[in-house]
Amino acid sequence: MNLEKVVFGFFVLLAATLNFGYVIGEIDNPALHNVYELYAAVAVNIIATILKFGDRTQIGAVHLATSLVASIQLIIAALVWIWGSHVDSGGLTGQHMASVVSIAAGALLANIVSVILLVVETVSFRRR
Amino acid sequence: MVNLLQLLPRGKQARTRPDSLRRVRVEVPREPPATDAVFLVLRRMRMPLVVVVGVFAVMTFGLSVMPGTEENPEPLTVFDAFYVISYTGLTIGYGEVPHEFSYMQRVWVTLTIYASVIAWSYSIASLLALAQEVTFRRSIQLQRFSRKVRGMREPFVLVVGYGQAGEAVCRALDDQGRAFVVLDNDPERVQRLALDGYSTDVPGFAASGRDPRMLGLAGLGHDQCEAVLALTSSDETNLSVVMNVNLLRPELMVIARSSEREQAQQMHDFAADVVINPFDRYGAYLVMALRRPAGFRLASWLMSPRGTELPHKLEHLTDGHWVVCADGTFGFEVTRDLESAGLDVVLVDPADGRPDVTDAVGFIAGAESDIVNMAMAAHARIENDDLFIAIRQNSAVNAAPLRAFDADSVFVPTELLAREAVARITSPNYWSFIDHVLHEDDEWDAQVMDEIVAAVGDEAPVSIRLDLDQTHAPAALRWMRTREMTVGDLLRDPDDRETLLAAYPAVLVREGRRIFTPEREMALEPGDVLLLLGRDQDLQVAQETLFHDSMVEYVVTGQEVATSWVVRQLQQWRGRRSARPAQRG
Repeated sequence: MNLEKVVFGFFVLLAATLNFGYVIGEIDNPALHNVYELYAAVAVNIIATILKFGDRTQIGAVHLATSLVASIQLIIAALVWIWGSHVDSGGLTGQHMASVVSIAAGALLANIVSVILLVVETVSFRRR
Repeated sequence: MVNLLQLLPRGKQARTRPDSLRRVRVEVPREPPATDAVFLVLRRMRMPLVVVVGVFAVMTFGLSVMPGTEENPEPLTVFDAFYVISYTGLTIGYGEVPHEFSYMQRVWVTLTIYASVIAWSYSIASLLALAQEVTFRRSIQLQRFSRKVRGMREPFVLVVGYGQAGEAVCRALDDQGRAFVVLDNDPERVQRLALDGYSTDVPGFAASGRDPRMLGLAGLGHDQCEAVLALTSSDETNLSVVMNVNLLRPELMVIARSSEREQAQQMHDFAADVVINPFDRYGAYLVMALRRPAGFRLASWLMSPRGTELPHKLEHLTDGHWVVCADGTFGFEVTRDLESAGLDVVLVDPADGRPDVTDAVGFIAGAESDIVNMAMAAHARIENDDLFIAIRQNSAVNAAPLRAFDADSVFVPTELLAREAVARITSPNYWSFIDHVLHEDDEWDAQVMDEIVAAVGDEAPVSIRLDLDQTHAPAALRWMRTREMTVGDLLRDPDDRETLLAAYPAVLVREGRRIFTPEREMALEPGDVLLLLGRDQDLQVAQETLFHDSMVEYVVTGQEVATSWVVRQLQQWRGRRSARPAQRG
C-alpha cells in the first residue's frame, strides 16, 4: 500500500462526494444547500488540484485538467453565492441559488470524470 | 507512420552522402535527460501548498462558527470569515470587520496568525531550498541553453570540448564573426566561457558529448548547424560525436581530434571529414619544413591567426642523424614520419636519462612533462650548440619560459589542432588553397608567398569570398553583360584606380572547377566565385565595388562616372558628341 496513493484517492473522491452532496436537492431552495458544504467542496477541490501538480504522464495531465475545471467552477459558484447573500440588496433569492447550484453541478461533472480517470488508472495498473 | 512535415525541405539542403552508414532516417533526439524545471517545482511544492490551503480552510471554517459578541450574537458568514482570514493569514491586519469580535473570535484569529505564519515560512523555505538544489539549477540552465540554441538564426558551429584547442578554435570563430555553441564535460570550463569575453553571448552547457540527446539539445538537429568539431581530449568521446553526426545528420561537416591510429581509423569508418592527429601531423610538418621550407612557411602562415607575422625560415634544419626522446605515441609517430623522409632517427626513452646528441643534427624533446623536455633541451644545447631543437609543450602555463629558451620549433599539440581545424572550417575554398600549397612544389610556393607578401604585407591575411551573382554583385553583373572585367580590375581602389588594394586572388571557382592563383588579366564571368586574401578593410572595399555601377565603371575604364542618373545621361550625351568628330576624322 502506498500512502501517497491513499491520500490522492481520498482527496479526489472527497472532492466528488462533497460536490455531489451540495448539488443534490431542489435546485432553487437555499435551505437544501448548505453553504459549508460548498465551502468544503471548494477547499478540498483546491487541495486535490495541488496534489495533481507535476505529473508528466498523459493521464496525469487530464487529471489536472479536470480538477482545474472543477475548482474554477466551484470558485465561481462561491462568488455567485457571495454576490447573492452579501452584495445584492434583495438577499439570496431562489434565482441566485439556482445558478449557484447549476454551476456547482457543472463542477460535479468534472469531478465525476476525475473519479472515472482514477478508476481507469487503478484498473489498468500493473506492477512491473 | 511517416510524419509528412519531415518530408518538407529543411533550411540546409541535405546533400546525400554515399559514405553515411545511415539506413533509416531518425530524428535527432532532443529530449532533455533531466526533468523540466516547471515539473520539478510543481512536484516539490505540492506539500507546502497543501499545508497553506489546509490552514486557510480550517481557520476560515473555525472563524465562521465562533459565536459573536452580545450585540452581534450571529457568527461571521463564510465569506466574512474568509475575508478576515485572508488578510490575517497574510499578516496584513485590517482590524475587526464587519463589527467588533467576541473573545472566542479573537482567540481563533490569534491562532490563525501563528498557524499561517508557520505555513507560509514552511512553503517559502521549501521554495528556496529547491532553488538552491543542484538538479533544479541544472534543469533551469539546460532549459535556458536549449532555448538559446533553438533561437539561433544564423549558421553556427557546434564545438564539443572546450580545452586549449577548443578555446583557440572558438576565438578564431569569434574573430571571423561566426556563431558557435559549446559543449564540455567540465562545468568550470563552461563557466569560463562567459568570462572569456566573446563578442556575442555564447550558449554553452556542461555535459558529455557522448550523449546524443545532449548533442541534439546543443543543436545537432538544428537547421542552421553547419559543422561539428569534436575536440575533447578523449578519443572515445570524439568517436562518439563522429558516429552520432554520421548516423543522425550525415550532411554536416565533422572535424575530429584523435591521438590513436586505431580510433582515427574508426572515425574514418564513420566518414569523418577530417581526423586530425596532432602527433602525426607534427612529424609531417617537420619533414615538410626540412624538404620544402617555402611551402611549410606559407602553409603555416596561412593557418595562423590573423595578424601573425610571416614565420622565419627554420635555420640549421638539415639531413642527418636525429635523436627523438619521447614517450607514448608521440615518439612513435614522429620517428615514423622522419624515417619515411629518409632521415637517420634514434628513438630513446626519457626514463633512460639524458640522451647523447654530440653527433646529431636534430633533437626532439617530446616527453609528456614540460619540465623534462626543458631539461633535456637545455642539456642538448649545452652539449651541441648547432643542434636543431624541437620541444613539445603540453601546457599553456609554460609558454613564457619556453619562449625565452627560444627553441627552433615548439610543438603545441592543441595549437596545431586548432589551427588546422580553423583553416578547414573557415571555408572549403580557403582550405583547398592551403591544401594546394601543401602539395605544390617548393618553387611555386616561394613565388606565391612573395606575391602575397608584396600585395598584402607580412601579416597573416584574412579571406573573403566574393560571389559574382545577382544578389552579391549586381553592378558587376550588369557591367559584364556588355563589357569585360578582369580579376585585376576588381583589386583596384575605387578612389584611385592606380592604387592596388591589399588583396590577393587565391582561388577562382568557375563551374565547380578551382583555378588557383588566377592571373590578374583573366576575365571574370557571371557565376564565378572568387576567394581573396588580404587586409580586412581592403577586402570590404572590393566587395563594395561590386554593388555600385559607377565604381565598377571607374575601376575598369578609369572614367569618372557620376552617381546621379541625370548627370550620367548628360555625360553619355557629351561622350557621344565628342566621339562623333573623332569618327569622322
